[in-house]
Amino acid sequence: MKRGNIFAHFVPLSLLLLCCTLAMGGTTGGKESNDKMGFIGALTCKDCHEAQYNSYAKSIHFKKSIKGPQSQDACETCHGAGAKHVEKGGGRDVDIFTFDKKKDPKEKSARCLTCHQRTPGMDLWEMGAHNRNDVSCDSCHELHAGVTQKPKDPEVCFGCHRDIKIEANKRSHHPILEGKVRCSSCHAPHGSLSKGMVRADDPQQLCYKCHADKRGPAAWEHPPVEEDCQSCHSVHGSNHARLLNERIPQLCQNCHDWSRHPGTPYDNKATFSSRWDCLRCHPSIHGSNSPSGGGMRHVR
Amino acid sequence: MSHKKLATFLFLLIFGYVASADADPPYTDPATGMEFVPVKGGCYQMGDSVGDGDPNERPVHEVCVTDFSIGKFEVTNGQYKKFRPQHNSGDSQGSTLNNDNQPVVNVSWEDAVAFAKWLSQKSGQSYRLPTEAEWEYAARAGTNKSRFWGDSPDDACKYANVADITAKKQWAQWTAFSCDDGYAVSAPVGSFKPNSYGLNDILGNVWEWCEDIYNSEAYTKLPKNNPVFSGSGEYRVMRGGGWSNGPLGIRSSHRVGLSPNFGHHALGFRLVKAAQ
Repeated sequence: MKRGNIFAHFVPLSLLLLCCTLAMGGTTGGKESNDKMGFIGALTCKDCHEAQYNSYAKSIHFKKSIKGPQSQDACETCHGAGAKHVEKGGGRDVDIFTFDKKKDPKEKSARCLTCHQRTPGMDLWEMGAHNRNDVSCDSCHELHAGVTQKPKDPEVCFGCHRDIKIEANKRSHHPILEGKVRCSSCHAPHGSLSKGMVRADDPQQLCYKCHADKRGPAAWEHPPVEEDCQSCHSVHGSNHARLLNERIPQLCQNCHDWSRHPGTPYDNKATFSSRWDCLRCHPSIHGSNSPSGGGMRHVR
Repeated sequence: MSHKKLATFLFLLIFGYVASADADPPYTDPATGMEFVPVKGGCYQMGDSVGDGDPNERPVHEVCVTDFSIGKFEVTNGQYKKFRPQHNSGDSQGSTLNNDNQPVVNVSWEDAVAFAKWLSQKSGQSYRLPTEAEWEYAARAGTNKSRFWGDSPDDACKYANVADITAKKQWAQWTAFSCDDGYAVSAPVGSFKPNSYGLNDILGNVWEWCEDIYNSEAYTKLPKNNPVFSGSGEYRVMRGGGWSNGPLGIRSSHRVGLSPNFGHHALGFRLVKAAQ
């Protein structure tokens, strides 16, 4: 066979091989569509669930700029294939996945994590206290309604953490109700390695994030400041001034006995009151840098 | 005619006369023209006796119902509009559901009960929704198969308006019967063959509200005679399947619970007239 003839055969054969390869690629594509067997499309869902569809259409999940389920089979991305559900005429939980209260929380969250596994902040979800205590994503997030799907903080948190809601309503409180700080300012609801799911290695370090002036180091440290702010403060709220656990002097007297000076000052007519509390003479209670002995006693 | 055949003919004639003599005669409501077919009471095996159903259709259990009369057809738009002239059954993706002879849809359970109450007052009769037990007894018409017409899938389109080849032209992803009934959406009532009790569209065309509160375990809780679940529950029962449902939804024992204030494009009702 001449060289020219070989070339003349090689080109059509190559094209044939290419076509076969493309055809096989097409088969792979066909497999993908087979994986979605039983999907019936969002418009069919809308026929019966118009309100849900409309609220979903307003949500961030529907935004085309967001990578996610917005597509022909949008509803089924989360609820699963709907063909059997439609064939049977619907009904709650009939061959469809719903986010009902009775459903296994971990099963519900797993649906969300299909996409949100890599969402920032979700790395510690599995070991977080919420997940371990069967709090699922839909406990806090509205899956359809809302532009952002972000839960209302603190209202959603207070739904379960009633004790904290009470504390936050006390006379002296972090400005949670005022909207100046949010629960999520201090806590990581999607999981944290720290106690109380705080956004720091420990609660102490968390306080220092805002109250850096209390961090020290100081020449004369007040040990509880280093150990635990909560020795003296109720962090969410208190009926005593400055979120203190007790009023002064009782709070101080929990540790300090009368060995240095009496619990009542100087005569029986005067008391430690708001005018004459411990801090009147020991204002540098979080730590003093005074070189004198007064610093040691946090007097200055 | 041989003696044997003559004897059989006479027996059936006499037996049929005796059986029908106990039931009410057919009745036509003067206000709406609604036809009611008398159904002689009896006992039957209620539930999924075939094994193709959902857990809420089990256990199969014997149920007995007393005589009643049931609408030969589903309540139509024309009949319902005598009660609420402004009602619009709407359309489904461009196909109307609002013709006078089509079954009324987009009515809630509450709407259906209100209609029965209105018609009872207007006609001096006692109308209500059928109980689940009555509905299934009427739908089975003495049969114990999944559907009263038997096992042949193609027969579905002779007896019922279901998700079919015509519907699949519009909704390609639906699971449908492999026959063609000629209707994509609801058909005029009575377009298909009735069951042996003379009831048209008892399966297919549109779902039908029942009286009972839905309970997935109702069959373990109810008495044998004239059962109706009236315990706690947020849903009401619908039966029969509609024009958008495939084989799994078009079965005599299939039951679904829906919110009583919910209505959709394939859900209507038919009435029962209490025996005199």
